[in-house]
Amino acid sequence: MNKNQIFKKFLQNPLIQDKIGISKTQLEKLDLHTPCEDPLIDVIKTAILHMKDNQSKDLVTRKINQLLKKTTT
Amino acid sequence: MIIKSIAIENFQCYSGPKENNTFEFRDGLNVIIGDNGSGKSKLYDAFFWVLYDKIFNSSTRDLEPTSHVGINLLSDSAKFNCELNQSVTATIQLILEDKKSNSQYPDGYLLQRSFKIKRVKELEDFNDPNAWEVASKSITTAEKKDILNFKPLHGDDSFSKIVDKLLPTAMKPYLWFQGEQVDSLIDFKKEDSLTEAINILSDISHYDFLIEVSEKVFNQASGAYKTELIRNSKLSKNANDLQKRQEELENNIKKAEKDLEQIQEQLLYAKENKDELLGKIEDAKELEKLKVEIETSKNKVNRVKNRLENARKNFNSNLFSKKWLLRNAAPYLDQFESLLKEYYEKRENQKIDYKIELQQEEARKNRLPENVPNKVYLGEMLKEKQCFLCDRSFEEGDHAHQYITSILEKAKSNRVRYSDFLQNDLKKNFDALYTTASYLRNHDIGTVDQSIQNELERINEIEDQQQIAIEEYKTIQDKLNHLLATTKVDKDESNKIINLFNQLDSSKDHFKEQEIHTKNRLEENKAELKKVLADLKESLGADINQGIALRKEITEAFAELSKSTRNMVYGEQIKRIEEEANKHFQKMTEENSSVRGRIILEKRGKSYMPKNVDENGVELTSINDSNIILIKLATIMAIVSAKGVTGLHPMISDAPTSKFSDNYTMGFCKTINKVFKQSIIISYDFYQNLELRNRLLNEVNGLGSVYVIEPSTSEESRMSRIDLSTKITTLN
Repeated sequence: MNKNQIFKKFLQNPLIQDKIGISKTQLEKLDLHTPCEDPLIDVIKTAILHMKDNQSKDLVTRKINQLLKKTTT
Repeated sequence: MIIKSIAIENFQCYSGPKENNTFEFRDGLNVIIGDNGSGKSKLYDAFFWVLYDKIFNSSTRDLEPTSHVGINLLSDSAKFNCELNQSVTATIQLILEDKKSNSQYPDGYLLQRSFKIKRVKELEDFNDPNAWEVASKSITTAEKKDILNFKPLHGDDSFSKIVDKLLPTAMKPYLWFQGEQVDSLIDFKKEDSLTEAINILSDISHYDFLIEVSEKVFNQASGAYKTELIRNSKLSKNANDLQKRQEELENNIKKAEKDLEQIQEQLLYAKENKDELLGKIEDAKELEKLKVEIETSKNKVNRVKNRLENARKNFNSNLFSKKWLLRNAAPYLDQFESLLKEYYEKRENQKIDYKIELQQEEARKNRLPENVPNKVYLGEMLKEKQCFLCDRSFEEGDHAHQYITSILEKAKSNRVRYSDFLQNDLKKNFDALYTTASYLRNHDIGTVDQSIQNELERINEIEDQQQIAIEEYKTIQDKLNHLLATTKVDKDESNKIINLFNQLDSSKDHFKEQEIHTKNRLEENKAELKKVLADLKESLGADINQGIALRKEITEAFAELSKSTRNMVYGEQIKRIEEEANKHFQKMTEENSSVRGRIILEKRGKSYMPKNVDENGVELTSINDSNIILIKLATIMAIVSAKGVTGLHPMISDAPTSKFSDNYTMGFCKTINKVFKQSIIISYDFYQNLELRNRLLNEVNGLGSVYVIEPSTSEESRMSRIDLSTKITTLN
């Protein structure tokens, strides 16, 4: 299972509809490298893209925090 | 990639050059058949050793590196025949073939491992390690076929790369296993067991990674948000109160969640244990019922037996107690009566005669002079010492005195006495006998025959009752024996099972109630928390840092989504395995009419348990050990087929069907060909069962090579292993 397939699984989760303001059709078109303005989607993408091995958890956490600081300030 | 051949030289029981110990394999199912002790396990070890440099130690049940095994790795025959200062080498060579989709010519590879020892001492025992100098490690060779010849591959890891391509590490447990490992390989009670399989299919560990990260960022964002709230709540009493309540509710929720988890674990424990007993409870109840019945029946038999014994014992005493002795005594009584009557008559006559006779005698003997007074006067005369007849007096001792005295004495002695007459008279006794006899005649003697008849009938009746009671006892005992022969329940544990089942049942109900109660508590707290947070937000208004609030909201959603997506993917993969497993299960069981059904993987807490259900979803209770192994093998095949690697790797297994009936074994052989491009199984099942062997040779489509291996000398005639080699015969 590659990273894009993992990302797609998040998008297929019925719960995501309640969390973001994007239509189902738009969601289906999204992939890991398609730009999207929703901060939650960005967080998911960042986490998946930087995921390597168990040691990379701190790095991924840091990257997400940096992203959140940038997008929510 | 498939295995084209394995050639073995001087490895354990495979003594002699490679050419004598070569197995060639084809696509499809390859089978090596052998008796116990024929070298099957050594062949399995040979595969493992050449690939992984380890040997299975059957006593420690563990894999040992070559350096630990030392000289024991080599065949005794080769060691025995090795001269001083000469060497002997164990070598195993695998030829592999990798068909590429874009080329009609497959790549060929050669993997070889050798281990050399040198004889340095002539010791009495050639297996004494001191007699040998042992190489520090085995030597490997990896070569690739270049048109006609194999040429060495360069690079230290070329050997391991080929091994990993043949059997990828993650897939290896499902491609390479012994029959006895199947149970632990797919252990449905352990969450890890299926998770490992699912990880192969979907990299579920990536989702676990994301869950951990999302929780971490959420905790950080949530901490920052709380700090912000504390800072702002100082400005408003209302906000302060709300925040306190928020903390209380959050603690309540944590506690409720923890409680709920514990309750659900306990509920699951009760449910699982109760379900485990489901297959036993009916038998246990029946067993208990029969145990009570047999005890009652036994008591009944004893009671009837005692009654019969008493009746038989009392039969003789009835001679007296019920006067059976007098049976047929009536004529004797008649005779007695008649004789008695006669006796009375005779006695009366005798009495009269005797009386007359006495009177006559008295008169005769007591004759006094004519005018003699009666005897009274004789007494008076003696008293007065004067005769009243002659009026003369006399003295005592005189002749007159003596005469009168003698007359008086004679008169006295001649008096008539009945007692004299009735000497030995038994009239009184006869009277008493007559009275008794009359009574017996009137009351008992007439009923003796009937009484005896009644008593005999009563004894017969008790004997019948005893027979019936014994038969009832035997019937119950037969039922009990039959049940004990077929059930898994031990005779002494049935009551324990019933009690435990009832206890688990009531525990289950209790935990179910607690679960509902705790869920309600959790929901109430969550609802109130939501309201408190909304009120707090409103109360703080513009004072709260919106960026911090938003970060908390986003990370919370991320954490929630990560968990939920992981569960979703896990569930999808379970479904996928279930579907694939069913395909293989159906195929494997199509020749077996007894148990078919369908496998479902039912969620039990954190793990999944397989259930065999019929078309209506009702669980089949006749599932046994071999069904379980079949389901597990179907699951192993499902993992491989769901991964989509069926054509890429061989499957090698030792005794995978040892617990199966013939039909299941054939089902397995036919199905495995659909899942693996090549499979190599080592089996005893076809050795003595020639009918099964014929079915293998004739019914399996795409059968590869089939070999029979036998030791060169039988185990009985084998004093030592110095002449031992392995005879390999091909059957097709």
